Amino acid sequence: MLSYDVLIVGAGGAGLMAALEASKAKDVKVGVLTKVYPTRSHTGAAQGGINAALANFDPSDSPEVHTFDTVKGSDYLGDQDAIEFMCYEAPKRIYELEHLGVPFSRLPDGRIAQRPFGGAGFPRTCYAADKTGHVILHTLYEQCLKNDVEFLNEWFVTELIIDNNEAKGVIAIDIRNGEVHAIKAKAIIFATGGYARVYWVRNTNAIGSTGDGMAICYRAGIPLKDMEFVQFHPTGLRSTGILVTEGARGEGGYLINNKGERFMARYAPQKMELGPRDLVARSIETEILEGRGWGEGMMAYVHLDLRHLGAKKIKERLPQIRQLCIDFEGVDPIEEPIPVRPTAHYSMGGIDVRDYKTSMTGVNGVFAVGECACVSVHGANRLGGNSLLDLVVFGKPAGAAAVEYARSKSADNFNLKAEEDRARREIEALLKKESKENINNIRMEMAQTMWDKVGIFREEKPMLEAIEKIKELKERYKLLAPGDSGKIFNTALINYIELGYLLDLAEAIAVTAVLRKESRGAHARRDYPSRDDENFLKHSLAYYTPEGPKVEYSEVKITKYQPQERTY
Amino acid sequence: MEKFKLKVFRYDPTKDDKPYYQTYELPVEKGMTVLAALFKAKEEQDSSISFRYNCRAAICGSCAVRINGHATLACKVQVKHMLEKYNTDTLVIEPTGNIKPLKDLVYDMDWVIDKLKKIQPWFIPKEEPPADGKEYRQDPYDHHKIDFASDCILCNSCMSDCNALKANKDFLGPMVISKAYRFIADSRDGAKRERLETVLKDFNLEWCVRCMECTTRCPKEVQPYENIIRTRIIAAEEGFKSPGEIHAEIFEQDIYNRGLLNEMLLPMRQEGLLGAAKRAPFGIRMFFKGKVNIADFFGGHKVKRHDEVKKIMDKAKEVKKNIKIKLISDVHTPYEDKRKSKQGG
Amino acid sequence: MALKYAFYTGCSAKGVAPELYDSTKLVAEKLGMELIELEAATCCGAGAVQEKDEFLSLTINARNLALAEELGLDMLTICNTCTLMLREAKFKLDNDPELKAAVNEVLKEAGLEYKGTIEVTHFLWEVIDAVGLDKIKSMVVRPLREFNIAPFYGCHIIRPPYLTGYEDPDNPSSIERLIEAIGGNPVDHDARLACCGFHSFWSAEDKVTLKLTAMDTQAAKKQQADFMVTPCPLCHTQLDAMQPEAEEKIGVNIGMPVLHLPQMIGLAIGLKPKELGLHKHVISTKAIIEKVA
Repeated sequence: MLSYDVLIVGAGGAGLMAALEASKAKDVKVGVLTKVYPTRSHTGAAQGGINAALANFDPSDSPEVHTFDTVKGSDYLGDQDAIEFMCYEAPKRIYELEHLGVPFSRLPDGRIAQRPFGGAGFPRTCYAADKTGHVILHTLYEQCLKNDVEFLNEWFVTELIIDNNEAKGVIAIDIRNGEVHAIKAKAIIFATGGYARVYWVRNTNAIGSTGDGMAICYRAGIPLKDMEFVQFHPTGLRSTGILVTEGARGEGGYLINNKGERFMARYAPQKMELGPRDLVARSIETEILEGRGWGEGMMAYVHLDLRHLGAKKIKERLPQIRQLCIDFEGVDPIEEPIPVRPTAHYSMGGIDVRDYKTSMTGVNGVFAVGECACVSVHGANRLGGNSLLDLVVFGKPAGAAAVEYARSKSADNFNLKAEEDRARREIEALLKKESKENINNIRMEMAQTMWDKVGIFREEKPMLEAIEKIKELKERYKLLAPGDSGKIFNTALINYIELGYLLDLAEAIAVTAVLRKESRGAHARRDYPSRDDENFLKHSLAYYTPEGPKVEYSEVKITKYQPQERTY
Repeated sequence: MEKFKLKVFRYDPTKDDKPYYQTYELPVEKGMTVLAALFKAKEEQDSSISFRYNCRAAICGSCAVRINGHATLACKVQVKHMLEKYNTDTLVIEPTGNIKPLKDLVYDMDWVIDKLKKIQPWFIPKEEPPADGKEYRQDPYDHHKIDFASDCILCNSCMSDCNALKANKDFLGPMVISKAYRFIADSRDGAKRERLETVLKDFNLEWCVRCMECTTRCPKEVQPYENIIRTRIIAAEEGFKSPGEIHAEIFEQDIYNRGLLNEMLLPMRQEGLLGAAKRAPFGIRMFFKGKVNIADFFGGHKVKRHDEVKKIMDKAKEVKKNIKIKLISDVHTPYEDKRKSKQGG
Repeated sequence: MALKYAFYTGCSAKGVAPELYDSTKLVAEKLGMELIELEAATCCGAGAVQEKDEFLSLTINARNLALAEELGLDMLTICNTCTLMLREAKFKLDNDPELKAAVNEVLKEAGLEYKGTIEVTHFLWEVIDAVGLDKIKSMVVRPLREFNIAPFYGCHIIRPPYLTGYEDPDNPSSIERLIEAIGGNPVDHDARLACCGFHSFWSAEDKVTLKLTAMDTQAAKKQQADFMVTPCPLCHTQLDAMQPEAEEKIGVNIGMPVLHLPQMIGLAIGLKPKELGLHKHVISTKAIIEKVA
């Protein structure tokens, strides 16, 4: 049986940072398990940058200001001790990344370049052109190769095994040959990324961002925190949800409905298309809901029209956006308007981390880092440039803490073999099972339900309907089967299991969203339009039960900054 | 609605003796990428098709396949554009070339990673970090030199269509050499010579045939071919003597001394007397075919106005010291845009 | 309209491929293309100088381009690699004003200046676009009807597209259209867009080059081609003059004749095999000569 002292599940920025730290301990056996090759992870898609108050660009910036910006951005739902830790660690981690070889863009004097980003008081975001996540991900992977970290590439975890509130191991499928294995591990770090794929095509995330680690931990009894908070971006491409950045509107693009109107005049007559993100997103959705878009259901859209800018300006000023539209949407913005709609971007919620210094959950030996975790540092809304930071700041100590934990544990006699045999029988049965449903139908219905009813606009009645619909889909999911009995690279089996994860997470999002009767950060309720600190300045915790999530609440850690109204 | 055929390479080594093709008919939808078409075929017609994917936004590098013979990211191309490009109703989807397929469109990535490891694809600092714990300083021009090379997503599109790799699987390949360049050219890196020695082992770096497939295929404008050349330039600057370096010297001398290359004396100068002897059958063959101007064996003639050439070459060596040549950018402008003067542009 | 070009011969046509030089001159004249030879032009560097000293290669090609600018004529090339090297120099100089200024500082030594006013083009492209396929068709006196002709584009006329810019590098058609215009049969084969291996000859003759040469000629043979045709003298040297070495390398007899593009056109428009230099090939063109006679 495969056995590790520290097993890391997921090899994006957070997982690799933890692996790199853990692999420094030569007395401890570390393994990294990932369903895709490490460099395929979604961290690579982060373009903008990573925040740290290096004060390279503006000497008056400081970790303290960064802390306050983040607390404010979180709409006071972030834990201030954890945020402070993150912002003070940030410069050290950036220098560490640079020392590992990350090719950051440079100022003329050779120091790391920084640029302004939304919600930040100073130009604080360190970057490498428009590929910051990509170079960080690749650099961390390279360093792991250097340290001879053991990778289980293209392995997929299906279960977390806990006994007596202690991690024992995981059940996983080796995708390359279809073998089902129990993997023994003293410490397990989940770093599996976000859950924005509950909205399926209407999101900016990788296809694999199916919240695996969250669903696995949730099913094993670890609560999910603040699941109701999902960040949306106003403009994604119609077919794929791929982000069309603010640049297109910044250069003077128009948002047009099917009446040919520049509809932002109704919602933001001064700023028009350059209004704040959430306002633009809500405006587009309103147009579509009221029948002034094109297309149907999840495929409905409005136009982002650049044609009046002319071919020359588009080619000179927006070449990347133009190429993006041609490649992914088949539309040349010089000739046609771009079909767009808001798109889910980031999930603030995740596996409940109890100790930000170690990233350990309530179960001994189970850790969670990155987007799959909720510390919480992002609270009700995440600032641009803080997600990559989250990965490296918390990934590192989690790796060290997992090593310490594993060292403190001696071998035990827990019978993992029995679990392995059971899991193998279950998977074999699945492969033989005949499908009476179509995976895409269930997935699209889930996505549409979540989009229409637990998306940008939220209101009690539709959300209750959504919960019912998800329950129905979960029943129908029982009739579904992978439909492929093959052993090697059976990705139909993986997609099948992922959909199960998403359904559980969708339910947790919907239930926590109904219960949060206020508007805070990314959670915007029509029936409760203001923030209610008296009743809801608290984290939601969703516990798995077969009947659906049971929700409890926990305290928000407030140290220096008392909640104030959030204006920009 | 208009339909097209998606003809997919199928192979399951646990079931099939040899690969075969299976064709799925699908509607041509606006906005549909080839990756989306593969998913549609998988989810509606045949769940057993295996292919890799993740970001569907051309950054993770998972989904490189060959479409009608040429490698590209399935997520980055439109079905409609591909049908127009090849003027066809059929898209043939095959795994990347030059790398062993494991199942259907899934190829052996470990083989590539093993190759990568040979060049130590990790940063090895030249010196200890600054005492204040802050960043290594790097001049923006030095950063610029590795900017495009660090865009590589390891998608293997270039490896797939590399002609040298097609002829010899021991070639490191454009992706690997380009990765080596990313470190060799990094002003902070301390293993430049070691890395150069690795890529120059058996003159592997010079197996590249300059076919330009890699740069043409690359979906991220990494410029693998150009990076191979940049690596050779650095090797020359570092004083490594290789066949390519000797070759370049001969060219330079010939241009300096007469303007044109003397092809007949090339073998002897390139490989010495022994080499020339080896090439004798070739030379004799060329001579009897009437291809050879006998004067060339005695140095040949000079181009007109040759005095200009010497002046320019001498001056160039001097001016070169003060110029920082910027790397080319925008290497993917569609070909239609390029040839202007002839077609009224 | 008179078609007039500054003619850049390159080294090969003046060296190991005199038949290309001769046939180009003859065919061009028949097609009404006036070629003013740039007798002061130097070697383009062929990628060799480029990989040792980029700036030097740019200056010598800036001079070559400036020679054509003196004549006020577009530069016509007959070698893929020359085409690419000159276009590359032009691309770099035209897109980087500082670099252009530095290069001109050098050219001033010789009283020259690179302005960027002319285009670099290839014989193939001009035959198709400027002469026109209709005109070619009308001039055909000996259609090559009974010939299966395997096009071999050669890398540097199609790739990379940001420099070549004439047709889709993944699906070009110019040579096929030309073959059809002269009444021949274009054959599709695996090596149509492949590489001949020429440029790694001195470093990887056995490891790479000759294997490619063998693969290419065998691919044409597999499709029953009577001969291959290429717009590049380097491909020609490799595929024709080096074919015996390639055969030896793989231990298989191939015997695939390879024609230069103007030779093929010449045969169809009534020029004699001898004037076109078909006897100067290493792989015997006897069968072709007999058939056209």
